Amino acid sequence: MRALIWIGVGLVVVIAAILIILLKMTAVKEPTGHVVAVIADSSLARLPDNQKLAQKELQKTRAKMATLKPKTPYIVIDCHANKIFLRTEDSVMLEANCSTGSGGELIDSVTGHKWIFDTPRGVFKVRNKITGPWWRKPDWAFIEENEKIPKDEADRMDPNVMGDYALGFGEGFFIHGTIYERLLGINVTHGCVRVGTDDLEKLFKAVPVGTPIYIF
Amino acid sequence: MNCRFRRLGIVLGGLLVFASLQFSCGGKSDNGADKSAGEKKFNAGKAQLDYQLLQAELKLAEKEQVYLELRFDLKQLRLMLKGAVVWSYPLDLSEQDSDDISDFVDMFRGSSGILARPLSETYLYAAQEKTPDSVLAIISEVTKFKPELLQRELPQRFQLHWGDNVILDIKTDVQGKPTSKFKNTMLEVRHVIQSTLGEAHLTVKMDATHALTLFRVAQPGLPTLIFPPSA
Repeated sequence: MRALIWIGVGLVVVIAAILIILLKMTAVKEPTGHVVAVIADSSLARLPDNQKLAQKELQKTRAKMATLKPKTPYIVIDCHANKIFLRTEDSVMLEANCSTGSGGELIDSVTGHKWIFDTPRGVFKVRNKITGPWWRKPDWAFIEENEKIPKDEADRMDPNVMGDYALGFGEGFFIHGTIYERLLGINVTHGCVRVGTDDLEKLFKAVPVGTPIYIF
Repeated sequence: MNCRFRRLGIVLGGLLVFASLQFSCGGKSDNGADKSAGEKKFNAGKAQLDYQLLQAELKLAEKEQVYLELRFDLKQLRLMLKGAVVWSYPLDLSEQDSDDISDFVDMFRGSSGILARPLSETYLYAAQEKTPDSVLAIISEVTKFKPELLQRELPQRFQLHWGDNVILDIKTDVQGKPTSKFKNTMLEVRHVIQSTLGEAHLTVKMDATHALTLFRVAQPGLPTLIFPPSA
């Protein structure tokens, strides 16, 4: 009788262990660069008891938060869904498909130089607006095609691939047109942001130099 | 004589009615003034919460890192970058029990009044079938990128977990296939067990494009700030 009880207890323990392992298996965890601690009431400052001082402090903090928020319509590039928006906090003024960086790699077998074709993430601004842009092909464009890197600068220039307009946002990155409109919505670029002809024209005309660009 | 008294009575009666009407109107107006003064009165509790939420958001907005806001006050889900809204979706909880919403907020905040937590887990229940390799091979030929770079999972249903059994379920209209029937069943068993111990579980229906963005951004560790419903 006692042996049966022990066998029963053992079985329950084994089943519970299997169940716990299986439940753990169902959770998908992937390490990321996010480092954030829990923020609780106790770790934050409290308003002073004096009502006037409290109101003043609250106003000051609200003003600090407001300085972060864009004052004009801003561009948002969603690299996950390959969408570009012109929006304010509450409304979307333009929404279009785009293509962003593929994340692919290219290594120059001669020099060992490595390129990663990602669209940069973070906060930028429109630095310049160009009508009828030409592409100055960088070294990787020739390496990718197994072509010799030209010595003559003129051989790098291509007037046919960037569409009618370009919005530069630094370090050689542009929002520009494309001859591959059927690939809009897919992560296929070398880091630039490609937009269809009509949407690019609307965007180009709507934003002045200095417009904030948020890329995520 | 009687007539004179009757006239006097009518006049006095009229004056009495007029005075009482004036009094009652005046009373009403005074009450209204009191009410509006009361409304404008400084709400210390709300101000304290606003102040702490602002501080928490300022901390998160310091970095060029996306964070999620559960805006129960505005009925919105928001992805934020440096204090700017970069993605938003209505937090339509009309089909949820109001107790479920308050349980969710209470369990997220815990006994120590947590305002921000990192996402602890995500789980993909079902997703659209992957693009056939033959199609990707054609695109890959044109774009000269590896086919696997072009592959993506359009989620049909996924969950965001914040620990302490706080779960947001996202469902879309995408026609998908279960990622693993076995794991899905085990997770349902886990929910049944957890729900008896106390689990806060809300469900949001979302369109495919918004769900794709949220699914891909929502990696474990994603900072999440909660704004409780307005009182």
